[in-house]
Amino acid sequence: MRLPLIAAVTLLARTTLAVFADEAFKVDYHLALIGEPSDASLFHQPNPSSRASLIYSVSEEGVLGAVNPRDGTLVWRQVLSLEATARNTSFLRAGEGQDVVISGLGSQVAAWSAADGRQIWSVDLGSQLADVEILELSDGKETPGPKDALALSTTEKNAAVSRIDGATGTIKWQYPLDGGDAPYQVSASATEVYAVVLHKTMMGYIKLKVISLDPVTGHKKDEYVLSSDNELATPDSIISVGANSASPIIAWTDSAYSVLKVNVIGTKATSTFSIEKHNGHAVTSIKLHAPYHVNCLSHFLVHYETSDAHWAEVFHIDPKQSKVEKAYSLPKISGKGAFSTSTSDANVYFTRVTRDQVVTVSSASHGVLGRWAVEDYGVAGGTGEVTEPLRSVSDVSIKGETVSAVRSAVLLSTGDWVLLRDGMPIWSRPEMLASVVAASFVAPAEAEALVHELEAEAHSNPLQAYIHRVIRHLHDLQKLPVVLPSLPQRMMQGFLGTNEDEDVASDTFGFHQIVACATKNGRLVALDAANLSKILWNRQVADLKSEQTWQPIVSSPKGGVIEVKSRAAAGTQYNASSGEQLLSILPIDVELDAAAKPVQYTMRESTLEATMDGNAAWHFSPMDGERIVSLVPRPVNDPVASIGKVLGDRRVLYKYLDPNLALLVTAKDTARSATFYVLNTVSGAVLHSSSHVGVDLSAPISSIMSENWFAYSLTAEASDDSPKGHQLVVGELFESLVADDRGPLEVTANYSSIQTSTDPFTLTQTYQIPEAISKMAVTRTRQGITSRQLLAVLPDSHAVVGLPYAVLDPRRPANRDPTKTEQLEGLVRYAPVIDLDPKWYLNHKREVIGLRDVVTSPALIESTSLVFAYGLDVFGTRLSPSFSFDILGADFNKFQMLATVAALAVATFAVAPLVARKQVNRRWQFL
Amino acid sequence: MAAPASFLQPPTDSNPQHTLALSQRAAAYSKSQQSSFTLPYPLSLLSNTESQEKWATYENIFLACLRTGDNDSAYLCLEELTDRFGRTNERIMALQGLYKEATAQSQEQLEGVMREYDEILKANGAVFSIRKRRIALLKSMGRAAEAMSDLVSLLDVSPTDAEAWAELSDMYLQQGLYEQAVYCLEEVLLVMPNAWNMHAKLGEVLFLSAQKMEGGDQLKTLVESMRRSCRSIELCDDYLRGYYGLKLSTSRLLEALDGAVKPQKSSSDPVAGDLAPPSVESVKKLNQVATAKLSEIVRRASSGEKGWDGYNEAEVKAARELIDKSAQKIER
Repeated sequence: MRLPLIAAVTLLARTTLAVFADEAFKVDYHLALIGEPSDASLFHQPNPSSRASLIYSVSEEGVLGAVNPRDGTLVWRQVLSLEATARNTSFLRAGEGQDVVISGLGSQVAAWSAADGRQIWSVDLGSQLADVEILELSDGKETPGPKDALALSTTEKNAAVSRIDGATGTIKWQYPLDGGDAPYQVSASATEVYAVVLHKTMMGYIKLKVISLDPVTGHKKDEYVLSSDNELATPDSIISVGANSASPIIAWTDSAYSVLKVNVIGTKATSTFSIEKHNGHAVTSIKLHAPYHVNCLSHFLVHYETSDAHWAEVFHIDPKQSKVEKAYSLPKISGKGAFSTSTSDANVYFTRVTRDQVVTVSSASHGVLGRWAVEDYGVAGGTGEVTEPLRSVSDVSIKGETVSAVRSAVLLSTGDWVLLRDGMPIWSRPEMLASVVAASFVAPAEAEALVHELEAEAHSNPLQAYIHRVIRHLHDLQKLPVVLPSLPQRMMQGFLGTNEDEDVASDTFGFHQIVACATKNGRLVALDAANLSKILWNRQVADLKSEQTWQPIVSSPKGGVIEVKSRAAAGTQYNASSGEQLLSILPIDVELDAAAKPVQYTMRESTLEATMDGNAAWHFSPMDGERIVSLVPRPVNDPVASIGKVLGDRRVLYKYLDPNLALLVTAKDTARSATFYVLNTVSGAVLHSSSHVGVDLSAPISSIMSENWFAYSLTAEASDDSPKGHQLVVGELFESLVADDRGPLEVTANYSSIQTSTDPFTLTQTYQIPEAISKMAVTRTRQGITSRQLLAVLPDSHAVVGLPYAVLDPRRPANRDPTKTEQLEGLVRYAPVIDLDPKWYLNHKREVIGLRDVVTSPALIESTSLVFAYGLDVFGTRLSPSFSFDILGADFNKFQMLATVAALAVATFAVAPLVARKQVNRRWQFL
Repeated sequence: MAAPASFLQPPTDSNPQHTLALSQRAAAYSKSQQSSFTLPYPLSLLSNTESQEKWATYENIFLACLRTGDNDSAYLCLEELTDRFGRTNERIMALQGLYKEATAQSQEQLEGVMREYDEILKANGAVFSIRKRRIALLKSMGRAAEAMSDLVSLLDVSPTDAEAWAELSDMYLQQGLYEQAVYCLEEVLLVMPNAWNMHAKLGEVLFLSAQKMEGGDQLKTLVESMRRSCRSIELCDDYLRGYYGLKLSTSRLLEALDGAVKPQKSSSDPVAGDLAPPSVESVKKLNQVATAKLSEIVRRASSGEKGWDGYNEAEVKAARELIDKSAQKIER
């Protein structure tokens, strides 16, 4: 009788499991990021006929993006390469008055439509690029349409200068650079193409060799070596080689930054300028800013930086005599500053952004054309940290002789990319979040405190507990003056259902947890998991040199505390709500940690070694030729509601629950095989293992371990009997496969993994999935009662899907229909292919690119799990795998309900006398 | 006898104290109903001064005042009722007719009231309240034959009117037409089968009719009377009239059974399926029960015991006499 009903209910549940339309874009959030912009950023008009321009940038994450300067929204973006790229190898050029931008990254040169980001052409030159330029010939012989590009490729064997057709991407000519000189840069003047190569001398110094080429044919016209004496020790000392301008220049300095030498390419003369010291601080960095257009004035700016101040000097080049003269200098200002060059017709303007002001000057004279104070960049920083501008790109509007407005897109030291219009921050993009390497949810502090208090009450005798409670309530009364004034507002919001904008402090359901993210640049950023519009704080926690990487582990050992550990240093703890560093509690927690885990294991050079109380306990070394791919332990906080699975006939199948389970993946490259081991990390026993041959090891292998089940996915190579395909394997561990039987564990109250080894009975099932999974996670709820979803990152379709566990259940009956008792459990017949239901996609319409990992956290209510995915993009949502059974939906309108009750009450009182009158009339109608 | 006169209990001729008390409270009640202020029109709809009880009380006071001759108070009550329900309300029309009948000083005035009734009925013959009023007026003017023919024609139109049937039965009884009276009461019982007083009344009428009969018929009627009384007692415990009827009928039946040499079993009509006459023993037992219950009621009612004070004094007195008489008989 109940069977069809339950079957119908389960069917219903299956079909409605999805992101609801009214929740989409409300409970989830997504930051489409491009990463911190590199030097290759520019303002450009995508449509030459219109004055509206976009900001184009190739970021340090290898993403080319166009951002609307009006509101900071992303117009389009293209991922050039998601692998970590070395600095200074990305190039972005846009020819004046063209609707094409040309990017160069790695060995690839590509042209993109500036308005919509469609690729026009792409050329792979087969080796690392040294430079990409646009050839701006002014001889009038060029065909209309996109201008040609010049590319300089570096690798010693096929280093060459190539001219690429701007419309089709075909190579017009290529000039090979032989002789083992390192190609450095290519630049073009109006008549010639210059390739600058670095020639290593016998003494180990570098000499600059300039090769001039004919732009039409690519034949060599001339070659000479600049007399750079012995100043150039490394390529780092070369400040800049001016690109397209009327007079391209080379500037370099000695390693002590005491002399600046400038050469106008095409001439052999070198101008020398001495660099003055500033308050005894040595100059630490010199940058050169020059306009990029052929028909601009040949003025350039040199930006000097010491550890605590910066200044700049402007130089003029006399193109006829090829002489360089210093025109004027800009004053020293303490702190860092960013300069940017903008042009208007032939005039050149320099915009200087410092800590507290934006100044625009003309290159011709030192008179200040515009000065705007910057009161606040409007971004969150660490306590006591001064936000410094690092890089900027500016767009200057000129009206007559004056500057009417300046828009500067400034990269700040916090990693935010801010647009300043006349000194006012208009928008900011938190681009540091594109380089998050580790993230963790922080348990809310206040709730934790209350939990501890309640525990204290539960474990003491009734009288003490009563006194404790009374004292606690008296303490709570102190908060009353704060609560009372906000009470009417809160009630009003409660009525109208507008209390969406809760913050971390007043979080009823635990949706507003703090997420701590450690970025590649050594910063720690704290976000509100329900409201990404505001960054809580953002501080530098690791002082990393450039090119240095770190692998931090972010965790939350207790409520309100973030702990950052890296391989090099011991853990440091921070207050989650303010970002302040905590010092005092550290030693205590270390002891607690050690007490909690008697067996500790570490991975060392492809073996796993475990120690118990400092002595070696066990070690796991994979077989010959195998390497360890990954190790996934069961999460520390993994609550399980039931120790068994209740079958349809009310019998129980007992789960094999052990807190010390881990899934280890090894791979053998020669045999193209992968092996998966379930380990007991205390005893080192292998509880289950399975091996797959014919595995595509270049594809991602992801794995997860939770509760009493594990899952992994791999890509199988094509074989004689099966095509190439992606597989998802799910295994579940039971104490025994006989219902109501716990096997040998039944008689023991306590047991030790070391003394008795009980092997679990494992059921596994393999499914074919349409896409590779790069990372897996599982939803977590407070008590573990809610059913679980396996979260899988699909890198190919830029998506995150939530697979319900019922779909993956290894107990799905194969080759037969489920029996009635199995139907009662909700088991359906095994089907080898899982089609990813569009309703399972958590990101729905959004395109989430480059996800590295997904972290989950339980909310305070049982039904809900918080999900936070990071990588290039940041994506987060709330999931209720068993639906929101303990919270009223957003469509519940308290005001409407109360209004209905009130209206009914009024109607009752109004109608009562009328009804009474009518009744009396009826009684008196007849005798 | 109820100590405070309840407004909701209609005054009856059998309880003059209650009627008097009710009419004496008329002035106080009408004053209590006058509220000091009233809301303006639309809001006055929302204030509730209505109740079934209020108008039932006005009606009862009106009737009580008419009985006690306080015609002014009665007029005030009638005005209140007329204001509330309007002149065309059938019940109000009847009450107004009643007032005019009660205040009529001469035969001519009564004739005038009668003419008014006739005019109303000429306009609309279906106003039952006026038709009944007219019958009552005819009866009170001594024109019993006209009243009865009117009543019969009324019952032709409305055969389920128990009140009319009961009235008709009463009139037949006055004329000594027992058979017709019994028929009318049986009609009443068809409409209201659980009316214990009607059962008792039927028993009484049957007893009366039995006095004129002889032999088997008498025996049969007495048995029927006894059975009606028993049914009345069955429906209402401690019903004095029921026991009284039972006592009377069983005593008479015992005498009749004594007289009859042989109980005529064959007198039962096979077609109607009449029950066989009861045995002497059971009749004796019933007589004893009735005697015991009557004496208990008399004892308790005369001592004014709580819960036994609702009996009509005259009825209690009659019951005592009956018991005394039978006691003398036994002594003798």
